[in-house]
Amino acid sequence: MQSSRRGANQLPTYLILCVICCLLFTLEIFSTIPQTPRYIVTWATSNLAAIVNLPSTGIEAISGYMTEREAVLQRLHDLESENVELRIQNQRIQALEQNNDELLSILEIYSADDRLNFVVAELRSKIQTHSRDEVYLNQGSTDGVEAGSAVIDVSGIYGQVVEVQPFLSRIVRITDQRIAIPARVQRSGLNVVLSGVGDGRHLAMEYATVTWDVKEDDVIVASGLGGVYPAGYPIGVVNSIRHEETGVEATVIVEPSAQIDRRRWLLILMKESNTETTQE
Amino acid sequence: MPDFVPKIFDQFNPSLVFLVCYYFGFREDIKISLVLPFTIGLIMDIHFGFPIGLNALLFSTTSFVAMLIPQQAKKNTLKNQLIGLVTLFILVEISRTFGLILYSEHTITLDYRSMLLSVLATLVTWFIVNFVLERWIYKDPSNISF
Repeated sequence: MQSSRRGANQLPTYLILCVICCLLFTLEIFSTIPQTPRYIVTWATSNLAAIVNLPSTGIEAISGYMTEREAVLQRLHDLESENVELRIQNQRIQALEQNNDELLSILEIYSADDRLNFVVAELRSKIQTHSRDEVYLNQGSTDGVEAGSAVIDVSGIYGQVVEVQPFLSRIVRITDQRIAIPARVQRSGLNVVLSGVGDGRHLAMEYATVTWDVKEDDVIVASGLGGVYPAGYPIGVVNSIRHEETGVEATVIVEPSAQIDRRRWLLILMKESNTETTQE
Repeated sequence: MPDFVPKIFDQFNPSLVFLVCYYFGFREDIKISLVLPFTIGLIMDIHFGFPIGLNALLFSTTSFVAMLIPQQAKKNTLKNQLIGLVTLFILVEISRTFGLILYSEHTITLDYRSMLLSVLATLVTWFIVNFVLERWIYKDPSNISF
């Protein structure tokens, strides 16, 4: 019965330990023990635990490398297809953002100038050759569009309606050779006539001479004569002036303010608002 | 756990510290004081955030009860060992749970499956360790009878 004697020998120790444990337990429950000693011991034991856990951590690391090749390939495939989907989605979002910006700037114009009475139209198709520079918009006579109305975008004059169908209207852009726009040089007040060059990107002043008060970077606005385009609305900026060899004539090239090739949403001005603007 | 190990083994955790404390009391020739299991328990309490004194008390009790087992019973069969160990272990698990419930402000959900698996794992480990130690380390097969 050696063992029971050994147990009996340990009885006082056990009882003391029990009392200590109960005390600690009670203290823990009913009072706030300072946490600093606890932090120190935890710091020491965490390091010890990290060393003890090294084998299992190692096994986990190795098993990570031993994952089946097919599973990895499958995952790669999945991720790639997901990537493609996300890229398509991203492009859609970018396009939507661009549209949104355009529409927002149209709204700004609307709130800034109450006199402009317009219909917002979306670009449908484009015909661009050396002699023709036209687009079709999705608003027609059923929406109140009439032939001869001016078309603007948020930054400048865009063109003129020449033909109206019930749900479609044909627009000749200001860069078309067949169009002539009465305009004014904003700085000097000089009245000029602009027409398209035919390259789809520029306009030229007709009958310009070297004596005209025009400089590079001059802003050209609509004069309002003829009652088509709203007076004061920007048309473009003088890009270059070239004096001809005759010494009399000059070629003044104007770059349109309207973003001719980049707009999707355009504004067709109603006839009434044009005349009112002109009269003013 | 690595991927090739079945999920069930996640909960198959032998309580190794418990076994060590039990073995301290169980072996006659290991002369230790009860302060050692007490200290181990205290450190565990602090490290794992148990109420201080809970594990210390449980491990001291384990060693003390193991010391009280008569020599004759230790030499006895597998059956005796099994009954003693299982009883003690279940006692310890239950008191640990009660201690936690007493301490915790929130309701603790008892995971009986996990507890049962833990008991099983401890038993299996005990028999393997005991067998290896008695047969090859202490070379005294009289303590073991299968």
